[in-house]
Amino acid sequence: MSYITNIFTGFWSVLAGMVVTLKYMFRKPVTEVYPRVKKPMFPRFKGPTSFVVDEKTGDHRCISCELCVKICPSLCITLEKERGEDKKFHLKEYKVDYTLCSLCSLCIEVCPTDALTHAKDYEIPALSQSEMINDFLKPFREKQKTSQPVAP
Amino acid sequence: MNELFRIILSLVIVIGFVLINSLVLVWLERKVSARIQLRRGPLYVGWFGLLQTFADALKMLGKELIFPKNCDKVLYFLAPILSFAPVLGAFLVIPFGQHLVIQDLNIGLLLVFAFSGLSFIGIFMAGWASNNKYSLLGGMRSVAQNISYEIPLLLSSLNIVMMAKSFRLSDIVRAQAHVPFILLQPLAFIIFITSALAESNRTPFDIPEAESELVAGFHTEYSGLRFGIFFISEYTYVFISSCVATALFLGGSHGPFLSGWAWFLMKAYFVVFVVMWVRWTLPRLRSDQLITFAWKVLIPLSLFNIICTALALQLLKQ
Amino acid sequence: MEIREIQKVTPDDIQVSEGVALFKLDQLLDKARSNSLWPLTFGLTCCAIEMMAVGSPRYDIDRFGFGVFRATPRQADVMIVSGTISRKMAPRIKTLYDQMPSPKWVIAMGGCAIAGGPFKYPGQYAILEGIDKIIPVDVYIPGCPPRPEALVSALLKLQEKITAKKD
Repeated sequence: MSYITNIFTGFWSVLAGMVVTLKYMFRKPVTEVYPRVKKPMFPRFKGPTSFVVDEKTGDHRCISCELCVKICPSLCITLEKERGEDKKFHLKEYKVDYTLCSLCSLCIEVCPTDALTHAKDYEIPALSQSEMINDFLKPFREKQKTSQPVAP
Repeated sequence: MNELFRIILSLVIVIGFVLINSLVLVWLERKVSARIQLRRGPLYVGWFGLLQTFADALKMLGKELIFPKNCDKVLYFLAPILSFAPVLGAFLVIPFGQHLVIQDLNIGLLLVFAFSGLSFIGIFMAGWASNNKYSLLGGMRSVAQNISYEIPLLLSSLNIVMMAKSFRLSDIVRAQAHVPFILLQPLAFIIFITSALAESNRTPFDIPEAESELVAGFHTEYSGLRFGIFFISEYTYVFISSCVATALFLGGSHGPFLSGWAWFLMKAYFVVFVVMWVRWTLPRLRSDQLITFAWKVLIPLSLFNIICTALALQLLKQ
Repeated sequence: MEIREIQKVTPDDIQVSEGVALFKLDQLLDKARSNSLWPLTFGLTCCAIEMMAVGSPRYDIDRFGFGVFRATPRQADVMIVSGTISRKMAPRIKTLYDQMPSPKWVIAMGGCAIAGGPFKYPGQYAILEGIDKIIPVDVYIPGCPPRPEALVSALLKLQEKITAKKD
């Protein structure tokens, strides 16, 4: 007897499953059409690290204390500094190797001047390894160039 | 001579139709699966992704063809052709319209089953020739499955032959002028569709190419165009099965308003859609469950159905 | 937007002669190849979860025609190396790469596959520092792990690389 009931329950469950998939067929797709529509990232999204632009001076806030270099577990930050005439350190070079960075945000937590932050950028594929070593001072240098008065 | 010319011309037309048809079916399958999973499916290549499968085919043309080490080169080369050619032969007797049939043989139904029974030889050859354990396992499974499911397939279509009193497919279609046989033989229709699914190696019966167990089953070692021919033959097999199901159960080319071939194609594509719908609903069966299902459920049921049909026909005659 | 322009056929690609549009054959092949990159079903570690997300309804790379994940290397076009490569796994990856029929491409996904990521330190013995030490890589995706959108944009970048004009 259970042989016949088995057949009937099996057939019934197949039908029930097919009704479910048919219902799903006429629902609206949940796909985000990514390259056309770009979703803004969430406030706590961890993108690649970058410098904060200070609102008052328009420059970065780094004081070259090298705390981030010391705490980085992936050893991906290279920092060069020089002592200026005012006996303060000036940042000469700040590069992060994204091939090694694992976005742990320890450098951001340890920074005494809150100079670092996570960018909201996520489209970062590169064609070679050298493209992934990011020079943090590059945008600031470009800004300096454009803001300098043109010689007559 | 005239007859020979007609057959050659129609075979050329059939080959063209088969290629275009299978490309469209692959596109349809990807769209149906996408909609069931709340996705979009192919969207950017051509209008609604219609050129997607053409791009795939073109890419396969440009791929490297590989002969695996220690493979049986003759069998390896012949296997895709042998799995594709019999399917073309089955087109010979499908009645697409009242007079749209290449050769209206009086044993048409038998011819279709004979040709479809041949195609698994190609699959087994592919499994044997590849010199790969996964391919061999896939080929063995394919043979076991095809032999088991051939029997309910034939037994369920025997009901229709008994009712139409002919093996000629156009006679069977003509017998359904008023009532399609699906209303008189619903059990036979279900058994036929289930066995046809298994015969064409579609999910839930796709154990010869089970991805999670056998990498890609019998076509593990096949690359490029040779794999493409296997792909095309699978989809053409699905189309042939649904054409036969249409002719046997759904009234073939009979229908109001439209002309015969339009009704036939509409019904056939509806059955193809049902096959895809089943594929994206049900998970794969285990190998032993599959054989148990054939021998313990489908064959007794179809035998029972044949006895019932014979009794009913005898009673109605008196 | 530049990504949309990849899909478009620019007038330079087509030679119009007597009212018939003709592609050059290799350009047509490149277009076909770039529009059906079938990845290998091959996940190593945690980046593989993001790779699975790319095939899921939300990101759905089947829209571009990349959604056919093939289980066998013989039918795959692009290998997404997603995750840490241990020294035990490295020869297998090399075998899988060799088994793929050419033309074939490789995407290195995540810090570990690019250069060892957090496992790169002196005295480390178990992890291969970057997949490009054993097989050639076409596109790198930094991140730990990268977002699914980053993988989609990497695939589009690969598409751009394939269809780029060769001299």
